Amino acid sequence: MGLFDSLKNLFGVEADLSSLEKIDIDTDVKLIRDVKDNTLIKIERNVNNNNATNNNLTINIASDFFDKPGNLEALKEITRNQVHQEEQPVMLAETSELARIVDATSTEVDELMKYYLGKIPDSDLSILRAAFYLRAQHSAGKHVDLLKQDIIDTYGKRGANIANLCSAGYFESHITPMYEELSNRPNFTRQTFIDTYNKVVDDAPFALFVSRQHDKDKLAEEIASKISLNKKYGIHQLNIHAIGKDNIKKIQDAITNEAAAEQFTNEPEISIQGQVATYILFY
Amino acid sequence: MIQLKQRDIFIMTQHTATFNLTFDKSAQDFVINAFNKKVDEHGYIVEKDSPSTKVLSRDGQEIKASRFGGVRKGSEIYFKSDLISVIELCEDLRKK
Repeated sequence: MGLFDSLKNLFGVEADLSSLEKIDIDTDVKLIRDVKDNTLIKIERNVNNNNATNNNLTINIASDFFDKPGNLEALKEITRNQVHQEEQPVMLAETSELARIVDATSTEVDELMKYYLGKIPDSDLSILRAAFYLRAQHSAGKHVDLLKQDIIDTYGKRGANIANLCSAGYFESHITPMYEELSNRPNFTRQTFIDTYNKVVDDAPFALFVSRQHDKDKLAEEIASKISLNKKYGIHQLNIHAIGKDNIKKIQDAITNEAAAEQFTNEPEISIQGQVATYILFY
Repeated sequence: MIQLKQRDIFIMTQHTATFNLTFDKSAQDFVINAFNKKVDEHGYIVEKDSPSTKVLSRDGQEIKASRFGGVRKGSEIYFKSDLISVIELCEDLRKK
């Protein structure tokens, strides 16, 4: 007996749900059983931001359900059977939702990853893959703070740097052209590219990402230090990225003072779209 | 015996002919228990019969209940709920 029938039997659901199989895949189906022993079948349409759709059938377990001898063990057995016999994962609902999102964007991410396979260090591939998923979520208008923290918790500063560069599009706008340019040179080796790539990932000389840890003074110091270093390398432009009102204000505050303004050769270029801002400084 | 709270829920998700069992955070202890595991005083998932033995993810990491993502076959693989673990899970399931 499969999961569906096992649960139907255990919870004593008498409704004929055979027609569920005919329901459009773009439909959520929820079954709720409340403490008053009422059974309600509710059909809802639900398509998420990634166009990933599913049918949901929800069971609320009443606290007195386990008063009946054997019910607790029966539900445990159904849960174990789902893994051992049906060979399906039993997942936290939020994890299942994240897995659905990952599945829905996997083709796009696989396509993006193809270019970097065999080029960037192998140890960075899983970081970049996670960063592309993060970016897809951000593009879909989802909050990504927790996902970014997952990357930082797993991969540390390098994870944060790659996620930042990827989110701002630098892999396509800077790293890909850099590879193309270097690979046309005589005696090119993968290591030649990796050496330059590592400098970009470690220092991101052309970019600065404002985080919650920055305050106005710390940010001003970092801008001044980056500009000073960049001048030595002949880089005359710095892109500062910020997400969120508070971080955007920090940039405004950090660059609108006389000492900072003296370094600029042109007015900064400012692009603000909703909560996402890029300031380009010229010096 | 575990007593679930009134609002404990299971959600069954239908993908074509396959039903996937997912659980709400409030039913997490029930699921951990169903697989003969429990949560120790430091918040780690451990063997019920041998509490000094921590349950490990496939890459050998201990799993805190607060980061528990679920269980899958193989024979029993416990995974975390973070993005990197979910990416690995999806890739493994796609290979099947």
